[in-house]
Amino acid sequence: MLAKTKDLNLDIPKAKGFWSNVFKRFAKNKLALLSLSIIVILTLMCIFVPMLSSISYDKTNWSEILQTPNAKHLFGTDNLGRDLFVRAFIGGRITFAIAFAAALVVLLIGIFYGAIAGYVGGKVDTIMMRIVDILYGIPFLFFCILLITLFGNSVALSFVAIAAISWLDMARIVRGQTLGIKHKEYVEAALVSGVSNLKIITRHVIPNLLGVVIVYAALTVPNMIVLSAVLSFFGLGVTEPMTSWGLLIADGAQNMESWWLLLFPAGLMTITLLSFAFVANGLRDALDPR
Amino acid sequence: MNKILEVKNLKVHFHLKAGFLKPQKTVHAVDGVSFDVYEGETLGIVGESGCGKSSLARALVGLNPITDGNAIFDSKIDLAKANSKDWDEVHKQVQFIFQDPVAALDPRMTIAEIIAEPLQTLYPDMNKNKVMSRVLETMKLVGLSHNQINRYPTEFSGGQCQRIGIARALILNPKILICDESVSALDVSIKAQIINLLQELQRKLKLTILFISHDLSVVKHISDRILVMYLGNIMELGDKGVIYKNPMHPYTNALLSAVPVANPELEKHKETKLLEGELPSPLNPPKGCVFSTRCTLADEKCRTMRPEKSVFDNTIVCCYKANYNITKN
Repeated sequence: MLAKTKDLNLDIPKAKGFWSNVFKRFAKNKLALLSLSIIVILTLMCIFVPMLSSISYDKTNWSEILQTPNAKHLFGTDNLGRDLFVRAFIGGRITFAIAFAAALVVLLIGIFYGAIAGYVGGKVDTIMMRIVDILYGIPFLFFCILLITLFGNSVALSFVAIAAISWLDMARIVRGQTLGIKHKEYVEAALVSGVSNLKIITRHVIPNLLGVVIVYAALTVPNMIVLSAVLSFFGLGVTEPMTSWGLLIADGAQNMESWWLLLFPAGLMTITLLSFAFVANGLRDALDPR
Repeated sequence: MNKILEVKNLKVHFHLKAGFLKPQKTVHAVDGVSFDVYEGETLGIVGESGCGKSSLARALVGLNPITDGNAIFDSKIDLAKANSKDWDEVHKQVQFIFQDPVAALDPRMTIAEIIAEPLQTLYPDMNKNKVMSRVLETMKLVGLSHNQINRYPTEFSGGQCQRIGIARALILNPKILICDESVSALDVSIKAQIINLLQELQRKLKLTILFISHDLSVVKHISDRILVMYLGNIMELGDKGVIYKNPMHPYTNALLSAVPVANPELEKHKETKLLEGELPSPLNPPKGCVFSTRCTLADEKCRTMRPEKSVFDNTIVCCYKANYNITKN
């Protein structure tokens, strides 16, 4: 850290940082901004709707089976008389939680693994990337079923399974970026200044590949949502009465005559996926102005 | 004058990866180079692209490994055998200025962070305010205004970026500054500004400068002595006046005759001795004199035996056919 300029009694205008410029450009993209606010609103609703609603997500009501959407049940009810509005958001909570947590793990492992492999290079790089290739070869569903037979079915497990296969792509992307950055003259300038290799990775390499990584992370989150939906569609991971979007969609697909059971969860998921795609697109333009 | 750097038979070789049924090949980038650098002088290193001048410069700051030979800094540290502690010491004294001024600055760091980085790395115990005042002092020295301190490199022009690069090198108070094609990427007026700045700083700070360039007129302007390289070998080394007026080596002669003259009348009637052929591959350098494949004077002896360096009136020449019978005036 450097001393603050005001400590030296100098009046120097604070610079507009790189990220504030990125945000300014991002805010100009109305669609991306709208998508971002949709994601924020949906996330907040997933947190607060189940908390504040008077109806519990697992409360069955035999007198209100398969009701069409109405004032009391905004999204209608399912074949056990449970309120779909609350269930859709508690399901969203699980889906979002898995997706965000997995994305975070993917970011951390992928960035460090890729940056180290790319920067160190040589034999270390070869070994590290061959490990990635081997893990790539394992089929996803087979891997999940294997994990579940070994450790039993749980939400945490589906999160582990998703994170374990998703960091591979990130590691490859980061490695590729690192290979480009490590021969830049500013890295060599740091070497001539005696900066250690570890500091070069954290101070020069990672900040400079963050742009690409953030775009990719924004594209990864919807992938995770789809993966977790696929898993729960097959009955892996989340189990009744708890639910997730994948499970709700699976239920809805079996009761097609009650259209609202499929429409609302699938609609929410589609909106979310589209929003993430637009945000990623906006971020890419904002980070790479040309 | 004190020798500040003594380079003895320095070699920088790069080994290309051997493949299946493919023997390993070696690039002889710098192939046994010896010279001394004296305190306070400017040594210009010239040669065409691919002659090993950058490899040599980079080896002197540890960016390329030294394959063989010695490079003794300040008659204390041999760079060929230096450990990481020695290198820290060397980096405090020997700094490097890069060719592309913009690429040499991390786009995610402010100017203050960039300039302070060497100081904070090599003097980790230095007080924050001290570092900051050194940054401001150095910025003033290279002609940057202190209210640019929090800006990012993308907001600056090439010339200003090169000033930032020079400030980063100078904040450590080094003894030697190695400029690797440092003005080649700048346009002519900015080039002149940076060269004048370097000369002014050299006077003020008593710097020793190794100035690498393929631009002979720039080298002539800034250097005290000139080192001519060809395919990883020294061809000629001597005082600027002598080399430019009476080049002894046929390669130096050809190199100098290719420099355009500012006067179009003279330029029209100038006799240019263009070199025939291509630079031989450093993968497989000629057996005898490395220049023998393109030299008009070369005979059997030149092609089979590598010439030893001979000293003639303070000038070192590596050639059997060197033009000694020059009339000095």
